[in-house]
Amino acid sequence: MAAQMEFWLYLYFPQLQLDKLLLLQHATTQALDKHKLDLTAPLAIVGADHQLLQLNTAARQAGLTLGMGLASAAALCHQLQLVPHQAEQEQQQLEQLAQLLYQYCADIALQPDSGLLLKLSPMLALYGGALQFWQQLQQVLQQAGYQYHFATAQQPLVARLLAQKGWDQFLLQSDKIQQQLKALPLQQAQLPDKLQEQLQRLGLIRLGDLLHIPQAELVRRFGVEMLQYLQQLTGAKPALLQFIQPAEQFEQQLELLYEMERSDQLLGPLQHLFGLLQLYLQQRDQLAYQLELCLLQRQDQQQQLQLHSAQGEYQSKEWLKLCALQLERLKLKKPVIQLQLTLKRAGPRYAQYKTLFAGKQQLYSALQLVSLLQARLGKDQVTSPCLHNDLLPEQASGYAAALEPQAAIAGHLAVIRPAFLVNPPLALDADQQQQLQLHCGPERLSSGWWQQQSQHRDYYVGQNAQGQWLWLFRDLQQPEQLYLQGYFS
Amino acid sequence: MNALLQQLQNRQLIWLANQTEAPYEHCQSTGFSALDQLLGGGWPQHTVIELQSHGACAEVQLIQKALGQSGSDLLQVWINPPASLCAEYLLQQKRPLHQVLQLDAPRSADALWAAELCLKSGSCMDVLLWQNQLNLTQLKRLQLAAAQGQSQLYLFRPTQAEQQLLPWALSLQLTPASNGLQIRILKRKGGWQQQELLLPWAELYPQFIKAELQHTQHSRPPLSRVS
Repeated sequence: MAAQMEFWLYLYFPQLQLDKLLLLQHATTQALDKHKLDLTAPLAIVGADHQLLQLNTAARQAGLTLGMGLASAAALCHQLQLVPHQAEQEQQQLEQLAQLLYQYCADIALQPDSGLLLKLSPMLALYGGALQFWQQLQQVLQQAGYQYHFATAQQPLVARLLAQKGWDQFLLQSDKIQQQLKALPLQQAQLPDKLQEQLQRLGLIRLGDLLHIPQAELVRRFGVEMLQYLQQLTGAKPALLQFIQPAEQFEQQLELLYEMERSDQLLGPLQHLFGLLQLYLQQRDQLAYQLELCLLQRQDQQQQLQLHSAQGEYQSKEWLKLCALQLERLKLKKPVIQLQLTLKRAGPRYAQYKTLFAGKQQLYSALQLVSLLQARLGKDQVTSPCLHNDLLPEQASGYAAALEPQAAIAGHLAVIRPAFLVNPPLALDADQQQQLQLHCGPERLSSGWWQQQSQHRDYYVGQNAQGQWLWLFRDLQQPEQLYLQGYFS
Repeated sequence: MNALLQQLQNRQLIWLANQTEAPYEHCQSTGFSALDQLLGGGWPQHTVIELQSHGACAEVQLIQKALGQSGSDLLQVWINPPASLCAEYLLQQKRPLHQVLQLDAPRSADALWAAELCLKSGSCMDVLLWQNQLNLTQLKRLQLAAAQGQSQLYLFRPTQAEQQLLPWALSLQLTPASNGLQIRILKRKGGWQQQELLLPWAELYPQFIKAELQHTQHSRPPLSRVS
């Protein structure tokens, strides 16, 4: 029966901003800072019209109530801490919550005044019952850590009214819901102000009183506004809702509780951001290869960090490790006030194989190792040698990106090559030349005639007075001069 | 021999210095039979080996045959080599270039950190590190990392004037002589006697020194023949 009827769940989050502060406080349990808010003392979130919007428990105990003006609040509790209300930030948190719940429910709509509307009926078949579904949702909400009220109903508006009243019942019996609805006072029915005043003058107190009156009569007397309201209340007209779509791109910001001056302090908040990233990647079965971390600082300055992983990672702890290595090297120019993490490059996840080589245990794979080394030493300090198609030794040997497979070059390998090359070749003075003993050679190498400075060289192996083995050459254009090209080692 | 000594020896209560056997659990052949004999089997495995020399006297050539046996599916890491690597040389040694990593770490702490990470990662077989100073704690850390990752560290150092008392598994001093490389054991685990060996250049560099030709070398560069 339930499957045929539409059912909606409304989740109402009464104090998003305050809960966020509390959550952040838990995440960063560090030495007390003088800039830091004390969340155990009375604290209130204040709206633009100087009304208290959100209160913590200490503030409630001090006798403050929601909607109170600033003046009376200050009179009641003089040490009250005030935080300005940030609607944009709350909206962002609400979107994050919606993305979180999207994994469990297909149709989610964002609602004004901190609410989420979930369409239950299509999901019940999947979860095999309403209660199982609700348990799943409850688990997610508990992990998110925000306070919430909820209600179910067949019409979105009814669910909203009951949730905001704090009914907190998950029921799919329409008679009980109707009963509750009828008992709802008219002040909480979210009627337009003018209508509500008129109805009160008529002596109507509860919503039930309104519903007893024939609809046609009401519309004739109160006009089209009343008609729309009643249609929404009875579900005669389907609600216009815009369901959310999963985010195309990962981009998260985190406002810090206080200014951070040391880079190691950032790891706590970063862990939270990487946790969000992990969730994002897990949902899409992806691996992240490149991230950009932007540290927004005081006086509109910012520093950017590029985080790379050659193998691709999704786990927050791996990214945190890579990030910690980079932060160690970083010198903060100004205290950081906000973090911003953007996913730059991601790819599909694939099974990772580890070597079976003689039971050798691998702590890191080769790619992971390279990422870690690059994070601490810098990307250019970790390289692999590569061979170019050139005849002159100093041109032939070069460096490429680490672990990059290179195209094979046809041709025979020379027999005599030293382990180390001196680039550019070093001219030896007369004394040094006198002390040399040549053992082998010459081997003639000529660069191409098409190149700008065509060179012809005769190469020898020699030993100097210290007994070191050197690779030397003589340029045919100035045969008296010997150059040092490399060391045998 | 004294009857009492004879009796004690029969009961195996006397340790004789000439009975020292291979002191290492796992050895890998160095590829030079004389050196194998001197070391009692070859290079000790999964530990740190010190090679002291003033450079360019076959110190890499000495370990090259052991490196070649390590297999090419694991990385070879060169940390702070004294000059840039020659790709052709590595290919001569049948080493795929993309399995070789070169790290440049100007700070000594970074170089040691990188060496430790590579050793314990389990994806590297051999790590070659050029480093001048090392203390006891750092050596211990490297040895533990090598044992954990079953890898091998070759540490190249300039010849030290005074000997530090560090617990190397093996420490060699390499000095070039006119006809070969003088190898002296400075420290080895389980052994005490100082032994020396002269490894002929022809064995180390067979590609350009022929054993029979070694004495017919030019004493001066043949300058006149070139022009």
